[in-house]
Amino acid sequence: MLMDDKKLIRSCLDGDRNAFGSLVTKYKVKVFNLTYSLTHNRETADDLAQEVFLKAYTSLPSFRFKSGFGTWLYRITVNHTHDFLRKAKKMQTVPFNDERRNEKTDTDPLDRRIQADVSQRRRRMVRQAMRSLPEKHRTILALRDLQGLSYEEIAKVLRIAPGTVDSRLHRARKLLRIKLAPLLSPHGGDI
Amino acid sequence: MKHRKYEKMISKHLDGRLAPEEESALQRHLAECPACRRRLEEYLLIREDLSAEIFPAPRDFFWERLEPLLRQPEKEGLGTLWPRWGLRAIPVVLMIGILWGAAVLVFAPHPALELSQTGVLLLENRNPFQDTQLILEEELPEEQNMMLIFSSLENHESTWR
Repeated sequence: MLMDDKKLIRSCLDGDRNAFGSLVTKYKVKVFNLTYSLTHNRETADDLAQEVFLKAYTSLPSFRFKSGFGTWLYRITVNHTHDFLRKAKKMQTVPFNDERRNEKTDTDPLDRRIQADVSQRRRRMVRQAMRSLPEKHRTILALRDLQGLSYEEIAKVLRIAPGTVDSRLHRARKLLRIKLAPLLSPHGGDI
Repeated sequence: MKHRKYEKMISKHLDGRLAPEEESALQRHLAECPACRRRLEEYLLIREDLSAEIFPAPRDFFWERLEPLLRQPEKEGLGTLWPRWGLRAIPVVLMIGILWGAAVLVFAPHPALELSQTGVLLLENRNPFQDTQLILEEELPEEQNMMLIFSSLENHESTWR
């Protein structure tokens, strides 16, 4: 853990709320990006990020300094967002095929503007395909490919073995590839 | 089957987690397998798209909105006390219990040791059931018959004389 974080946490435990403010400033974008990756809604992600920091503040006395503060905060974020998604039943399962249908009608090889738009559209479809993945696969992809966490950090956040990170990540990527296969390749699909 | 194995290796290759020998095995396979090369390209494309994700910023005044919530006095109930003190309390309570039990065993007054009659007989190496056995033996019908026979014989002898 960074020394700064330790100092800030100790100050915070001594009652210095501004120290917690510094931690919030440091981690708010990371926490928000993770909640956004899992909900794809700015307002909801912002509310969840606020709740995560509130939860972290009240749970700070139980922080043991064994893991990094960021890892601990990510764990709270993942658990809180999962709880929210389960309670609100807001699992994002936007029908992937609708978007693909629009894609087919719009693509005109002679239209340069549309050609330039292809990558942007593909990104949108990747996001939508990701939303349709099961929660655990979506989470691991968000942590690895969007947040850039190491396998070891992911293992700590999700409380799973590094070997499980490996296999779950592969499964998630494969599912995503299969969903996007018609877009990526004319011969797409599983091998 | 072979392709599946290499697809899994591709996933690890993307994260730079292949051992050198695995990496060279994958490269050899990619050089001769167009299907797996296509897989690699697809995964690279997906990862590029994911990493190019543009996140919106959190709403303005994030800390200013959060800070008043932190000021709200925390309700001290069992629910809030348990996570803070519950786990620490368990070993303390156990220790108190063990010490109390030990104190009771060591300091509690013991009643004076008094032997029963049976205990005394056993200590003297005597059969505590001897009297009972004698009574039972006397009451046996065979013994009684024998006693009767002997007594009758004694009677005969006395008449001959």
